[in-house]
Amino acid sequence: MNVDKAIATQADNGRGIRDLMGLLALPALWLGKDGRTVLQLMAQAVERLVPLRFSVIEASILDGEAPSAFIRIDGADAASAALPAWHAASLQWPRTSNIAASGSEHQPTPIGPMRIIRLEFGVSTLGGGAWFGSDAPDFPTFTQLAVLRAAASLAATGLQAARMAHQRAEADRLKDEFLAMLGHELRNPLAPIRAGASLWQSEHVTSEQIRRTGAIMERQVQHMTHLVDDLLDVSRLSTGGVTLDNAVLDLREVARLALEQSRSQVDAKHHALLIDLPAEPCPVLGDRERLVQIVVNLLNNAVRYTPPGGRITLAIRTTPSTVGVAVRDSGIGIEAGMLAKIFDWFTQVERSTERSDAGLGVGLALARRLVDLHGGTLRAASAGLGQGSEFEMLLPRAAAPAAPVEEPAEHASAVFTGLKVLVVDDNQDAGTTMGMLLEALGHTATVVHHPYAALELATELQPDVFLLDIGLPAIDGYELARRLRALPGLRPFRMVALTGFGQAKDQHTAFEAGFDFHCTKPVDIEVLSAIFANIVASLRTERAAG
Amino acid sequence: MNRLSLAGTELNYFHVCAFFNSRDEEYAVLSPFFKEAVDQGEKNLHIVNPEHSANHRQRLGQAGIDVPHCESCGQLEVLEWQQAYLDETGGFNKDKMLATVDHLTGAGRDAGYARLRIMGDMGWVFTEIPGAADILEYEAEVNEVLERNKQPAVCVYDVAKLSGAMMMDLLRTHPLTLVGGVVQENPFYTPPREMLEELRARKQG
Repeated sequence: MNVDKAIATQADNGRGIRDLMGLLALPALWLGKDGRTVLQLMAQAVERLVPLRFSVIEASILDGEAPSAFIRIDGADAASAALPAWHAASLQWPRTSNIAASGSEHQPTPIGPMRIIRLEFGVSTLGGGAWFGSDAPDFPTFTQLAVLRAAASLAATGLQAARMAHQRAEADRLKDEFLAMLGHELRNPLAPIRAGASLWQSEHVTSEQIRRTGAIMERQVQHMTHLVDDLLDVSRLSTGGVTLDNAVLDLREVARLALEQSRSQVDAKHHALLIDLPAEPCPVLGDRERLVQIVVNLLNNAVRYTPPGGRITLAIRTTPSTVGVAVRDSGIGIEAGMLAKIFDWFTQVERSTERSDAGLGVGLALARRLVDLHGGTLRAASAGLGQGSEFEMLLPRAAAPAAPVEEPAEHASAVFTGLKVLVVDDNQDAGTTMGMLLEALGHTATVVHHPYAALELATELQPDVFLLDIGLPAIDGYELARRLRALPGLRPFRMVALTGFGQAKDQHTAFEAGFDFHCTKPVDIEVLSAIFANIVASLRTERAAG
Repeated sequence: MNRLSLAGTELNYFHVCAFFNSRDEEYAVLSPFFKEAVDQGEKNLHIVNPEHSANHRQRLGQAGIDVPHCESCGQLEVLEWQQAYLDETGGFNKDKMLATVDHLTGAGRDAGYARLRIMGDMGWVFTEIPGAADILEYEAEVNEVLERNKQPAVCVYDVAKLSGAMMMDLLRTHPLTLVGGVVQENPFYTPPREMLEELRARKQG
């Protein structure tokens, strides 16, 4: 190497380091910018450092989005009309020349033959890259390549940051919408409950009014309970707290149970319901309660997004390896862009301002995650707005035959009556109404509001059942249960825990403390009746045995 | 000699390119620089967007500077764009501005003050003002003036308005940068003669 060349190389290297240092200031421009702007700023900046004739930048600006491209030619943005010609030309260019490309051939471009290099933004993460081209005979020099690589790397990081910022903003927006919706959804049922309570306090209320408002209040409480259950499921699924009670089931039975639960909603909107179940068993391994919940979600979703008088079809489809349930509706359909988001938490399809049955936007997300837990898939399809939609759950076919479905236990409260119950609840209203309910079911209820009162009264009262709230003053329900179990002089009895904590560990704690049953508030009257029927039967057997 | 610090860094050059994302960030970083001048008996000369001059005074007051007093005694001079950068026709005259800066920081400097600290809001560069395209030549040439007169000047740019190319060019014309609240000697700084040659070549190209 002669001296002049050595000096020139040294100067070029010095300039290269200087340019690289300049590039490091570039990310300061990116704060608050979207991914496309980040890439544009990078392309503009690099033109000041490298004698480029063109840049073709292509990348997925948002996660999951199709790649989009923009082109700069001779220091200016190219018109979008130029894109097809550049895209067609780029298909012919070599994509492996991101190492020093000295000696590479000129490639054809719409502005003439150019020397070209391709730099990737990260195939697995961003799925895009940049073509840079110049007609300089030595393009790219070692220094130019270093600058372009640094620029592409910085832009890839900036694009990633912009995507994450967008996702954060989107999550914030969805959370805010969700909180607003939650307030709305919880407030709605409160209005009829409050009105009913006021009516009951009126001097002129008739027994017919009490019956009708009682039914309304029952429905509204049931609605609120479903909302709260969904929210708890969101929490459990987010923390991995859902465990499946798996058994081999016949998916036809799951479908029938779900149809029973959704029938009233379908009928209320006068939808035609078509059911297509195969004659042969459809065995799957799964949790009956959860699978029913999934199908109910799909059916209720179809009901919600189909105008009155629509058509809903539930069909079971089988292959040698899978068993699936498909719910199709003739409703408002789903835009293509929305299909990818529809299983995200708190996402709802845009609809009219009528929000009486809007829900929380968690149903499909819950369903998808529960299906995932079963090793299956849940897919949505729609030909577009106004074209209806179809949701299909596919599960692996189980090898073993399905066990017969247990019929729900009879809970004839008229037969299983006469229990002596001691209710312990520090919430006076809750305790009093529970006492009234038990009386109405044919039992004798005594209500106390402090655990010590229960301990004092227990021996004298000799209850058949202790119905204990868990959140009590002085000692909690678990400790009260332990002390009652240790109390001498009591005849055989049963204990029922009444709690707002419904997770598996809460049940475990209750049983450890000596409870026989665990009920999550608010207690469904049918559940309570079933528990009391069970208690009557078991106490009868136990006492008869001596 | 008095201390000359910006964002916690002692300045060893006199021409700073400051990029800010918001006015709050701008004043959080620059107010101590202004206050240091007042406390040391130096003079502040600020060239501001006319739309912001009242707010500028208010923010200086919030930073603990007695604005009315400093203005009445001449320790603070707040000029609007048309009083400094722009000539009587409303355009930017590079040579006239260079002469003004030379006068203010050199022979015409108020001898009562140990130093003059200039802050210029450069937002006018992004408007349709005639001559604004000469800003890079001005930024390159003013280095020699400030270095010769040993008086500091901070050119304030709003990041939201910059293109990638403009940022690269501005970085090359300032020996010190203030990015993300950090002052750094700028290795990207290009000697004015080299920069001016490149700018001339661009014009011809």
